[in-house]
Amino acid sequence: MKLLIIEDSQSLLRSLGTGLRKMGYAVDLVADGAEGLNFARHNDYDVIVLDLMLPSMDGLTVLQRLRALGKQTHILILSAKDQVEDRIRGLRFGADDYMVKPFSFDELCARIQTLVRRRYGEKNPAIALGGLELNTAARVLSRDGQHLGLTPAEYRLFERLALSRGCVLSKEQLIDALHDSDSCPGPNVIEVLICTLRKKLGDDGGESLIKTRRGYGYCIE
Amino acid sequence: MKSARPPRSIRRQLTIQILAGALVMLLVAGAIFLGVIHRQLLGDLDRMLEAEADTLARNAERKGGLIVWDVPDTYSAGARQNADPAYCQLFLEDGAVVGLSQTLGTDDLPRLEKRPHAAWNARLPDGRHGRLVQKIFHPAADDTEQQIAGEDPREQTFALPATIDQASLQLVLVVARSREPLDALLDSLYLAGGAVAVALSCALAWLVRRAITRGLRPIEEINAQIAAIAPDALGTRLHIPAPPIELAAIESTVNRLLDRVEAAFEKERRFSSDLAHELRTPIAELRAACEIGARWPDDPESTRQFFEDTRTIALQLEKIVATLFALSRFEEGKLPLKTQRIPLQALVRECWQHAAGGAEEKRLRFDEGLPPGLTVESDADQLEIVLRNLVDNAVAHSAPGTVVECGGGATPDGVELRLVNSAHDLEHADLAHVFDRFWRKEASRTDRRHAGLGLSIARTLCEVLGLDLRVELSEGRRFEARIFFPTVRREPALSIS
Repeated sequence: MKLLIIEDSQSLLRSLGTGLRKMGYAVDLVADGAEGLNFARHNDYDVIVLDLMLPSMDGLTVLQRLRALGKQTHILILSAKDQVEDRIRGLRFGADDYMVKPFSFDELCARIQTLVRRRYGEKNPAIALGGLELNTAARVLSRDGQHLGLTPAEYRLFERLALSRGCVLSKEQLIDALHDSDSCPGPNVIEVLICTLRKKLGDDGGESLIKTRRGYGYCIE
Repeated sequence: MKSARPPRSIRRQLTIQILAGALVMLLVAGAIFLGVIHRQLLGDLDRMLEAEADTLARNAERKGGLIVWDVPDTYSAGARQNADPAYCQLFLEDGAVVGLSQTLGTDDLPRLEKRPHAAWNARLPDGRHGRLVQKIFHPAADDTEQQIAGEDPREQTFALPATIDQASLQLVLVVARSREPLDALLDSLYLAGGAVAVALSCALAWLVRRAITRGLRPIEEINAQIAAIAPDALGTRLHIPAPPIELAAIESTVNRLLDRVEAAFEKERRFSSDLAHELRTPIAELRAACEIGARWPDDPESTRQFFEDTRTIALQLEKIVATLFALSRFEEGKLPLKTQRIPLQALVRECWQHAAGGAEEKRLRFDEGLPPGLTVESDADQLEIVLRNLVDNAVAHSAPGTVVECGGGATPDGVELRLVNSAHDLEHADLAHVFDRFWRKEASRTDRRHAGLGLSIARTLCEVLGLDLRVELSEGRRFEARIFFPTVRREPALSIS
């Protein structure tokens, strides 16, 4: 899952980047409104966390421009503006959620996860896949109640495939969803992750839950 | 224990005072009117009695040693049965009765001693209140020889005592009538007058109350409009259609007051909002850093960064609190001032040196054109704070590579100091806010080095020092701050303890 945080406070940007990456998200961090708009236009994010008072272009303008461009990305406004009219204005301009600073990091994660589920049409955070259970709220994959101990990168890959089950995702799509825009993953990173994932899922010998479609990519059916 | 006095009511006070005044005037006017009528009617009665007395006097003649008095039928015994019989009696000066009307029977009328002509009230022989008129006259002399007695039953004769000097004989005639018809008429008049007075008083009370109620209606309207102004609708203004002159002034004054209240509320609201925002973001930063740092404590690099961020945020908050506290102290006037002569050029250069680091980063050039030897009388420490804030502000908001100019000199009234810098994004409308606390042109407040308090501090301190600080936006978007040091030092706007 890939997030874009547009926030002018460098400290908050750093904290959120660290925390959300630890939570298993790929996160792009931008401190400027115009630059944030540029990032949002040219990348496919699951959720954008948007501050309102930003240098060069305010958050509401960024929001309006994105909606005018037809971008359907879920946007969560995170602002110090706490007045009801501010929230109403933000939601009316096309935001999907609104949080007031200061905020709880756990609540922010829960709201982001809700928007992610909404994007993929999932109401239930617990998704059953054969004998496995993917809990997107706790961000764990388990079998018979036993956590499989996925790394954040493995979890991100599996979650992306699970939420898009039935669809074949190309390596580029998976790389884009799994990595920050400024990181340069190697060409085999997806194969390596798929391989380790299959081992942890116990698919070494038999039929794998994660299917390979030669020339297209990977999918979970 | 004294009980609290009830609040005064203009309506009640005006009603009572106007009514009391009107009633007194009505009573006085009524009394005068009725008094005149009373006097007129009584005068008519007296004149009628005097006319009768004249007739009766003419009917009294001296014939030899006799007084012959012809008394008309209206005074006969038969007239006693009339509703309003008349009485008359003729006396000698010594009180001897010369003659009397038959209506008196055996009674006498009273007479007044030593009063030639008089009219007075007295009780009549029949017991009724009467009006009497007295006339003293010389009877006419009739020297013709005529049969006297027994010819005319109306005639009464009286033999004059021989001792009386007939030539100078004076008779006293008293004529009387009942005054009850007059009294009845007067009673009716007084009754009617009282009824009219009561009716007029009621009508007057109603009219006065109605007039006052109508007159006070605009005040009630103003009161209702003021009461309807909600705290969140301070933009409301009073509007009284066609107000009277007195209330138009009140309406205008209240509206001006509301303008000021609204501006003060707006300023306060903006300050609270700015302060809240100023604190919300660092608190959010602190909370996020703490929560994330506590959740993943095993990452030494992240933990170090969180601590570093926390320290930076704490220092920013400390600076905000210290600045607000200093502003509060300035405004309370708890600032000891030591006035001395200060060389302005040296002080300005020192302030520029303080900001030189930031100026160098932005490649700013300082063009200082103050005349050497220019001095001002002020508190050196506080003036330095003012100038440092102005210079810092100029450096912070100047476009890179531009010039910050400083000039000034002596004027007829004092000394002026100007500091001019480029301000490419500032609008004229912004000038109204530059002294507001936490106001910054850019809403994002990304630059945490400046909290938007510098100009606010400079202005407050200038007020304390009795200086005049003004700002304007000149040609080419140049922001100009001017401090005027008056020769005759103004009283500080804030009291100094």
